[in-house]
Amino acid sequence: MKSDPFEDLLNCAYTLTPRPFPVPGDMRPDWRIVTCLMIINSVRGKKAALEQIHFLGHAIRRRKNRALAMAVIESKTSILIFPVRVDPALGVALAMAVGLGFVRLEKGKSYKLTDDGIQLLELLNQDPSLFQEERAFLNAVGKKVTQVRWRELMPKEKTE
Amino acid sequence: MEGIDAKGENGMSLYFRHLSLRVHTVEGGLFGVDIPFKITGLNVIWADNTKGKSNCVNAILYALGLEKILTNKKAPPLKSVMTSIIKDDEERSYAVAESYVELEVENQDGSVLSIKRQVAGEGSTDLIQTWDGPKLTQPEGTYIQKDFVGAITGSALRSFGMANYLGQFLGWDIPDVARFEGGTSRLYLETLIPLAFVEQQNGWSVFPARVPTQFGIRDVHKRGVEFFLGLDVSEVEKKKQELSQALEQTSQQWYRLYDRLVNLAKEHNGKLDSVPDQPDQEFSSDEDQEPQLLLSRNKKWIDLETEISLLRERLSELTAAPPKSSEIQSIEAEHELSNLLNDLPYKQAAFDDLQKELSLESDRIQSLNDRLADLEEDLVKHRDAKKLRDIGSTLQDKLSPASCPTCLRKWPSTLLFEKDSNRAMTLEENIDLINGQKDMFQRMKEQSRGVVREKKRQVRAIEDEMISHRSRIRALKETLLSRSETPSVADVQARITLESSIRKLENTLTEFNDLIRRLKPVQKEYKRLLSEKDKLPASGLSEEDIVKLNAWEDRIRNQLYTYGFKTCLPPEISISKQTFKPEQAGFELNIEASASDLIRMKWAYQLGLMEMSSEFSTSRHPQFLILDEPRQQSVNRFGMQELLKRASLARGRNQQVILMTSEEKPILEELLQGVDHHLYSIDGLILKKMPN
Repeated sequence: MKSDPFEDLLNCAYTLTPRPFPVPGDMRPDWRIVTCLMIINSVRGKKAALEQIHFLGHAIRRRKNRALAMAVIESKTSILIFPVRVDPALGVALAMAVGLGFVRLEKGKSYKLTDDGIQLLELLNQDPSLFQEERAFLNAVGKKVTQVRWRELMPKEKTE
Repeated sequence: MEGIDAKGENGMSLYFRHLSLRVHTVEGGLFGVDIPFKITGLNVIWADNTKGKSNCVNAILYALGLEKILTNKKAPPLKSVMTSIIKDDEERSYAVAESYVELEVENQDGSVLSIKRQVAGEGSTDLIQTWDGPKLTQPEGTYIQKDFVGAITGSALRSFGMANYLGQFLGWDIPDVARFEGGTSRLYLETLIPLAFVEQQNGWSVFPARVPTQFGIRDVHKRGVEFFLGLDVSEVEKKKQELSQALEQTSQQWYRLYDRLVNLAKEHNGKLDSVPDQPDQEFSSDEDQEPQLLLSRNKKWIDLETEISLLRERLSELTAAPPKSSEIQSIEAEHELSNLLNDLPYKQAAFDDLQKELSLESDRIQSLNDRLADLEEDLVKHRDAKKLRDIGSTLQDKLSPASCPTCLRKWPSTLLFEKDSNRAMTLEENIDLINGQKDMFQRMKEQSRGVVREKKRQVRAIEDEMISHRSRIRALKETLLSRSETPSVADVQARITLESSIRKLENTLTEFNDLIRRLKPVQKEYKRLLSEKDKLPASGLSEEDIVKLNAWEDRIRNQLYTYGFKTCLPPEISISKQTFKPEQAGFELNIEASASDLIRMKWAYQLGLMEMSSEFSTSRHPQFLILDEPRQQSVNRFGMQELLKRASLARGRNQQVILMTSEEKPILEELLQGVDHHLYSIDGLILKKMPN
């Protein structure tokens, strides 16, 4: 009797090999860690609060975000068009940066670069083609996002 | 293998007969040296080290106007003994008032040229004086004097340039070669002569030779070897360049005509049929596929000629028809008007549908553009991440450790913690994926753009039809209102419109045919140039070239045996067909060989190149070789003796080797035992006091 080809197909052993999945560029740890370092280095006093890092970290990820953030910072439009998202991945990247010794947390409030962090950025500065657009954005707005300005952009919720 | 007499058969020889340096001092009188050479065979010039030997080699190049081989500076490349202070044997110093170099040379025809060039003093260092005879060795003769200029820009070409004159004297037909910036340039003598001499300081470790690169000549190191060996490749390269230029011009001509055809079709909302859209595509030889311009009529495409015939038919029907009674006119007009009024809404609907489709397709293109922009942004991030990784510093290693410094687990490759990081794509895989996606979306975008173009064309066609319909409706309405016995307005309008359309289309047809007629020979010419270019060998080297290069390789290997080459067995040595540099098993020899073996290789390389003239009549070697201090890096005596023996064979080939050495005299005497040579020793300082 002729065998059923489907049965033949179902009766043998299978090996399933999952294909590797693509990862967006800004979800690569080193990309994110380096942008955190660049953000901290760009703000006034080279000390950044967590909210500043999240604001700029959210902005820096996309071209469109950078344009909207610029418009908000320069008071050309309301922050409502650019609501800041708290990005867990950024939090993880920041924790990694601290753990690897590129960043330290001062007085539990603000983040500052260590010597290693400064050196790493200097190394990267030798290649002007790296992080071109991100650098340009931070040079333009980094110092404008002071803690005072941040509070104006995002006032705390009033409680009774 | 030594059959062909190098002198005379190939033309192109330069022999040195006599070198003379003179230094007039303010208070010390005249200093100088005279070095006579034997024009064929081995000349050994001995002088103590640091007494000015290399100055003599430099003086030869300076006299010939080739100082750019040594330096790019304006000042003559000669030691201060000739330009500022000279000392005598008792170490007394004298200021230099004037100095010059004189050189006597002979070419393959036995013509002698005497050259004099100022080094220091009142006269210009750019000026090179020449006499058409042996003025140096036979000063009593009468000679014609001519002046030339040294190495200034353009002297290679200008008739008063020494380089140009020297080229003619040598009988060289110097080719034009490609420049880096495009265009061509004469192959300067300064890029050729270094292959015929090796200078002491830097010349011994460079292959093919220490060639100046400031002339902007593409692959300049190879050009000299190609020229000397008479390889076809330089001709091939030249031909390739010429063909490329011709192809470019023909292509531009083709596109100018093609663009006019496209515009012609656009004017009528038509399209081209059976017309190739690239210059390398041929017109079809099939009679059913003649080039045509098609017009859109009632949702069909018809060719221009058919449309013109139809219009003519309609016109002749109108013209032939007898004048109608007003009653008949009215009935016909009403009938036609009714049809048109019924048809118009359908046309409008079709127009509206097309507009909607056009809008959707345009939106699609926009969303593809957005997607492509996102992909591009992601690609830049990935490339930055890759560059970060490739920096290769310890700090960078710290950025991506193999494992977490706290919990020691494998360091994640992504911040997407809901996924198993081990199965994330690597940076390279991700970059490939993004590029693949970009490619796909770009193709989709191109396709959409094609659809948009087609739909726009259809929209314009329907618009035109609607305009024509409305105009006809107005004319018919007027006809109905007028009710006279004269030809109706509608009929008149119809006739005028038809005649005008026919005229316009006929002009278009004439222009179309004319453009096609002109396009065909351009396309043929393009194809011809393309096929000629394809026939040229890809690597540029012809079969004959390979034979020559292999013969040169054999000569080199043969010499390496005798010189005691130790890095590897000589058969493992080859000459790269891409760079003409010596290689061992595919790797550049510089990396593998010892310093003394590199010297041996240089001997074999240069001598082998010169010897090739006796084997191939197409060789253009100038038949001389100057070696300044060939016993470097303590190459053993045995190897040196073999070199001298080999060099002495130059006499049998009517070639000249000049060897400058400061080897210890007893050793030199031993080395020269049994070797056919001419020795000229200069004891003490080379530039000595002379009677005025």
